[in-house]
Amino acid sequence: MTKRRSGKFRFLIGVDFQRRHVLKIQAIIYFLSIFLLSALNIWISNMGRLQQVQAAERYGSWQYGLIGASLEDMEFVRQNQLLQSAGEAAVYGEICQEDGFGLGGIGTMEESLGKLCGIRFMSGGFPEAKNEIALEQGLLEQLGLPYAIGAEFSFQVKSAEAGTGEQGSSSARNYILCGIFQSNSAYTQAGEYLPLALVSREAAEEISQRRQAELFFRLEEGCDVIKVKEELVAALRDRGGTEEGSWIQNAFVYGSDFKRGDSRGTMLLIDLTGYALTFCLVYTYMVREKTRTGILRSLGMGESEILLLLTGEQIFIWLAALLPGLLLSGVGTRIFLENYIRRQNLDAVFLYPGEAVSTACITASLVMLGGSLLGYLRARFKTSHRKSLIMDYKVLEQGKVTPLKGNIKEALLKRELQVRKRAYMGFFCMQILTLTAVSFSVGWIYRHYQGYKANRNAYVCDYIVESGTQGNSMWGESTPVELGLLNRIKNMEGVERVETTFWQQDVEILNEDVRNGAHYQAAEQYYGERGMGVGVALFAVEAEEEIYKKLASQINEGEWNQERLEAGQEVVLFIPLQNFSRSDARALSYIEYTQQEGYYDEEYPAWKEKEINVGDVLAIRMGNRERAVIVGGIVYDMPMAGNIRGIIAFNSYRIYCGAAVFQELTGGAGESSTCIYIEKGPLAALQAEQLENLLSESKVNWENIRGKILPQLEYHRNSMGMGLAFLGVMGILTVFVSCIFLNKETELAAYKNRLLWSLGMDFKERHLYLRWYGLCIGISALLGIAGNWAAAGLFVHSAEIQRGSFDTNLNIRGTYLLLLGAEGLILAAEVLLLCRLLAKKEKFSKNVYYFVP
Amino acid sequence: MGKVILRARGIFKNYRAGNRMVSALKQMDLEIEEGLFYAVVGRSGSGKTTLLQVLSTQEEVDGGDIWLDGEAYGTISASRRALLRRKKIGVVFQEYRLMAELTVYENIVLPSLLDGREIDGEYIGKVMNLLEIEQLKDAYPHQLSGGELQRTAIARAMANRPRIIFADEPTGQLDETSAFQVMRLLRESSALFGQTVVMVTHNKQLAQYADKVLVLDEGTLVGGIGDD
Repeated sequence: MTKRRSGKFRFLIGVDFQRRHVLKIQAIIYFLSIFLLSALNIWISNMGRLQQVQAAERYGSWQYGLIGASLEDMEFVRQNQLLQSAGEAAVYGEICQEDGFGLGGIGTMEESLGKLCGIRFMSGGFPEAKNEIALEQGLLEQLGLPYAIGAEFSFQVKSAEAGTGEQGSSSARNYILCGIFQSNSAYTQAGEYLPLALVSREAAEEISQRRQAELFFRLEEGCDVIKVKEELVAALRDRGGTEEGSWIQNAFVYGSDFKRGDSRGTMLLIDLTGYALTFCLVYTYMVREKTRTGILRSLGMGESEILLLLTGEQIFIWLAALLPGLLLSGVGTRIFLENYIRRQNLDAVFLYPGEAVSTACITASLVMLGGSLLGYLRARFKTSHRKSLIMDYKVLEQGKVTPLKGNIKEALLKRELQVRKRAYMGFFCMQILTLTAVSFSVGWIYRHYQGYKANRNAYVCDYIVESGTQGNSMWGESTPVELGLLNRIKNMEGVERVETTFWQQDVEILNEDVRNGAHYQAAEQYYGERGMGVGVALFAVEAEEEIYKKLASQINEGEWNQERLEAGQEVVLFIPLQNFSRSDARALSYIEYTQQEGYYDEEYPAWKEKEINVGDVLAIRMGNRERAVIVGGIVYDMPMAGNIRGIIAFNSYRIYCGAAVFQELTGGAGESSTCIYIEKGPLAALQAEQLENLLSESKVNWENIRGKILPQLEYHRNSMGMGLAFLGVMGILTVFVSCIFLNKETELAAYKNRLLWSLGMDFKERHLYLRWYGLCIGISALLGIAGNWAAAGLFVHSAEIQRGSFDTNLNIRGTYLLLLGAEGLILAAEVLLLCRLLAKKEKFSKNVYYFVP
Repeated sequence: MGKVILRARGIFKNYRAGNRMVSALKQMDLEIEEGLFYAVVGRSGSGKTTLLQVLSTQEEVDGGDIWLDGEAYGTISASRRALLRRKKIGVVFQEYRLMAELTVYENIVLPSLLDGREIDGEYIGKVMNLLEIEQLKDAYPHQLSGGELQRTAIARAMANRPRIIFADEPTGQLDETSAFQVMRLLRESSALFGQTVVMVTHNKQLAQYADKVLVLDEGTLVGGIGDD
């Protein structure tokens, strides 16, 4: 049978495709649709990435960098009339270890360059006095220095003549720490040329009289930056100065006109257009196909066979159009986008073509699939089942039908379900789609409302804060903090609350057994190759109950005893690289590494080797402070996992302890995730000012603090607006479709009720029958909700997990509760409305043409 | 009386035309004998085409039932009805309904393909020869005349050796000469292969080719010519 069928379909589809003009046109239109949808989606997702990068302020606002320039060249460039702002940095020497190994350049930096390049001080600021020094955070950690502004220390400085290859003299120098700037800046395009330790010009010149300097600048708005640069290069060359190759460029500022959220709105518009076009195309095709399917039906093809034929045909055309469409869109956008990027001096937004293409492919496919499905359903069920059913009722009332004798209620229901099966299926599908879309929008709005609400009255201090608030988690900016300062803020009048989740500081494990174990050795080697330490982090948890529960639920051995943790009696040890799954993409780097080094085989024996047990004593040290703690629980953790552990999974071993132990060992400094909330109201400004004063005493850069909250608020506002707009569109569509459906239901209801009445059913009996009807509708709605929950849940969950938010489950739960309430109401209203319509007797008779008095 | 191949009992069918209800067939009883050529005649709107459609399983009746070879339409599933149509029924339409993208030969063997059976080249050749379309086997429908199109449609209807062929005014779009030629060939071929034919026509001259003539008026069978 299968063989016969496949031969038959091969013949019909193959011959049809070769000879039928309409299919060729359809394939071409599909191809163009896929091409355009994919191309636009790739374009927009790339632009979206551009905006994200911009939002992250990775590059700052400079346009050109003049690298390794002489003083004369820099002065020449500075004289250009079109320069809006410029900043200079210079490397005079190198900070090194005692064995002479260089750690990073030491030099000067103008404050204007800090603004241009987006260099942010997490604590303190630029050096003002001769003995002051500001350090990049990574360098501070490498040097093993405390996070304490005002601390005095000394280290070796070598007056290496950068770029000359000459070895300078090395000497120990004393400094006072005046500022710490974030490590991120060291990885930006500009940052790699900048010194990691900043001193005053006077102090720098004591190190060396020679220097390697950089000038970064930005031109006036509206000028032709490329032309100006070419003129500058030519002029410098004429003077025998800087070569063209020593310029770097970053006209990233051109993309700053984009607003977050705009592109997604455009994408939505494009996708809806694509959806409508596909719908029209498939609908037209299906209507035209009626003659053909009529012939096939008359020749003995069954309904399912015809459906299979049409589906197969569409899949064939779809696949024939999909590959070239995607290929062309991928190639086309690469060519045009890259050209556009070059012309407009944008960032290389095509860095991740695979991701963009796959997103575009999925989006385009879903859009077209949705359009096709609806177009197909619309065309297929165009014939009015309502009319057919009305006929049934008419015939029934005339008493001419024999098959429906007996139990009239059962017969009616059976007949109705038989005739209207497709209509109900269509309604059911529509219900699933609509509820999914609506739920998603509601969830989206809810999540962003949470984020907005959390930020509305919070001053998120980048001095203290590493991650944000509920639904607004950002990470990657670990920041040093002093416990004393935080306590002072907590006690300030007007401060509503201060939320800290984790405190983190690197420590050292002293136990020889542990250190010689396979895990530890492997981790040491892994991190060592990446220029990092062994990787043992001490965590103090000051969190809400919810976080404790989550942490406790992950324990593999022992238990999470908060009381003993807080009393300093026990710690919980997170041991990574155990139980990881080969399917986990994030662990692949470890697998690759271990394969190379021979640690890995099918059974992972090395990883499973036990090095420590619950109840063992673990000796840990930080600086000159040492302490022994008892291991109360062990979690075998997966590094970089996308769950609650993920956010703290940078280090190899993690030890969770109480605040007292943390303070004892670290001296009260560490990285944290903290938010400061200030009470709303007229005094908020005053309270903010007090906070500002307090933080200013600790050399906090208040400009950064104040600036941080606004983009978050804007982001959440835009996202809520977009969600509401989508909800509005969906609402209009739903109302429109539901009106049609309910209108038809109303006509049927009126006639059916009349019939039941004429057959002698009393109100109670009719109502019983109607309840069954309502139950059918209710079941389909419930199934729709289940499907919707699964889809929305999966989407939101994965999105939240990718964000690495702590609040994933809280948000999801909130969203679900909201959805449950809303959908329950919708469902109840729907069933009630239908029952009411069905229970009414003559009300609808006035305008119903087939009503028989 | 010969063996009855098709029987209808108490069948009726209603349509809605605007606000008006139309009873196309009214409580009709009918018996078709095997191997005979039937002509169904009547005025326009008398229910001829409806009768043909319900008898050939293309439409369902509102009441009553129909039996083909003892199998009741009302008791079998839609897929079984499709199978019945494929194996035992051939249909010829007034407007030919050939697949425009298939050649004459491909159109004729299409039912065999759909049924997944081996194409009987000898039988198909005979049918085509008899219907005088053998030389047109590679032509496409748009290259044929009306008579040729209808002869192709008849050949297609006969391709699966159906027990019964239903023809809905097969000469309705043909000139007189072509109409008589088609009719003659339909008559001869069905007789040769022992197939029963039920043909709807409003042309009384063409009806004379039939062994029996059924007369319909306002959805009711009012009489027959050639009844035993």
